[in-house]
Amino acid sequence: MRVVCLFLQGSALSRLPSLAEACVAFSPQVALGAEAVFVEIAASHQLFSEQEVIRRMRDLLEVLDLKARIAVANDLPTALAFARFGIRSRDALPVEALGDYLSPFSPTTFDIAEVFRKLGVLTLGDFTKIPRSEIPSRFGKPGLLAYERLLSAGVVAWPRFQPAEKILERVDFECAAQIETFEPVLFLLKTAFQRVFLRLYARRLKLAGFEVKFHLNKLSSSGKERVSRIVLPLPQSEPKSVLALASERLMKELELTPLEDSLEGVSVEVLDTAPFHDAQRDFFSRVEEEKQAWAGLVGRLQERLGAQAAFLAHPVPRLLPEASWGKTLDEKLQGTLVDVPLRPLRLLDPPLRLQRVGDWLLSHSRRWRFTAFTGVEKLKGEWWLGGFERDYFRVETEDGEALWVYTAPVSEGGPRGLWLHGMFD
Amino acid sequence: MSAAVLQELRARLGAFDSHLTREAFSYSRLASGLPRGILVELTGPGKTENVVQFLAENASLRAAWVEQRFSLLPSAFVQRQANLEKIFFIEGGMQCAWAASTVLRSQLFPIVVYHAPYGEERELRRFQLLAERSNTTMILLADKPLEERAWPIRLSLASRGRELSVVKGRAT
Repeated sequence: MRVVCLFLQGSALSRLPSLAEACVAFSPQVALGAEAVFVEIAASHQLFSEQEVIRRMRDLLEVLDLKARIAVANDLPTALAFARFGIRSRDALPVEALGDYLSPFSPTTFDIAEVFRKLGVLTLGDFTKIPRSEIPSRFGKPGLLAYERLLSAGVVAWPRFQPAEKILERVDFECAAQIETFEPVLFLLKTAFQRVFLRLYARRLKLAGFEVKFHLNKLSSSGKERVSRIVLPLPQSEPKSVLALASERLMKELELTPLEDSLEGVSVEVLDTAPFHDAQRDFFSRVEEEKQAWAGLVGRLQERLGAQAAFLAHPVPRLLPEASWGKTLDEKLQGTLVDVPLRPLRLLDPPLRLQRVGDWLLSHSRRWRFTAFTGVEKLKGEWWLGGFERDYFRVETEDGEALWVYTAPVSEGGPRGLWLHGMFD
Repeated sequence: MSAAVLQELRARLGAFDSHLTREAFSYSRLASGLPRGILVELTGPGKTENVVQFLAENASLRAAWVEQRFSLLPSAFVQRQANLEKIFFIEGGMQCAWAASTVLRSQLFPIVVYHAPYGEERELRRFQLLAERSNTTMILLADKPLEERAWPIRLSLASRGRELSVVKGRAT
């Protein structure tokens, strides 16, 4: 067993669960103590070397903006004692370290440490040199318990760490600031998103929807928070593309309705996630990177142009030409095409009213001299949806254009109208 | 100018030309194919049919199709054997240029079709740079070829039904 201990102090202790959650990326065996996070790394040595894990943990701490003492040992209490006292030899640890052996997950002071010192036992090395039979008579029951725990330190039950269901990261300014440009907010958001994605990555999840909260000055009269909810069209696993998308939306919102008061900080809360099956990167394939770039691109385009403006299309089995296709974002969705004669590539919506005068077709803005009028393809049906009845013709013009026109009854019993519906452009 | 100098000059010009020779997508209606990483202008009646035919012949490639106002009938693409799963449609409205630049920058599409007004030199230059960088062939669709400020467009093709003719530039 090899255990890495990340030992935090002071106000950073409140962020221990976030750190523990991000550490799940290195090993499934993670334990959360009152002052430290423990990660068992021996079982994942095929994936990461010890040095590599420590390097990555340092990077992680930097992103999370945490300062921690890191120590590695063969058992959990020793790793904790190494980290707490900054000593890398078990025999050189002071007798106060016996508290960590007695209760590694909740801090206790070793009450009889003073007695040990008076008896000349200053370090754990001194303590282990004493024969076991002399321990009860010299140090009583607590001494014997400490001795047993010290000798069997490797046998500690690991409480299972279960990450909290809620993923929320808040980043604050050092002091509340009046926001004139979006740039400072962007810095806060960047940090918050990086942290959120570290936690999501450890859970093998992608971000599908989130909420950004602007925390205003506590004394603000206009309310303490401003909330923006963003639902991503495709789940994403990289902070970069989500940050670009979120900035675009938030910048627009802040331009329209600026913040009423100074800003204390920003928080990002995950509202919706999707499974991230390919979290382990394949060095020989760019598929996952392309998927990510694709999700980012769709997100940006839909954010700027509207939810219906960027799409893949699929055929729909309907006779009505304008209803013969649908929008999707699912690349695997294969529609069914009705067996009909060749349709034009361009369709006018709505169709353009035409008038036929001799060998001319006239609309309100253009005219075409036709050379051939071929057809007819009779389309009729879909009575359950209101019904339609059209006779389609292909019209060749002297300019080389090919039009798709139809006639349809204008009204019951009236003359049939002529409409330009598409172009074989 | 001596024959030796002339020979050397020719060799150097040849070397220079070889950098300009690009790989191309095959296209049955254009013997030399459509070169990668350039702007191609396609005008005249039958231009959309020609592009869809080109997409059908290169069905494994991803393409983005940017329209100012969407007027395409995607089910007709399937009738022409184009792979609809690989074509990403974008209705750009007034932000077509931004949408096209974003698509080019993503480097996800070897082919981008652009059907919206163009002609501003700066905009074309930007498209040209992005197309070069991403090795994308950007096909600009218009009714008439651009006559002025068209220098970033390397190849201009005129369509008349199924026929394609080169108006300006060279295909390789």
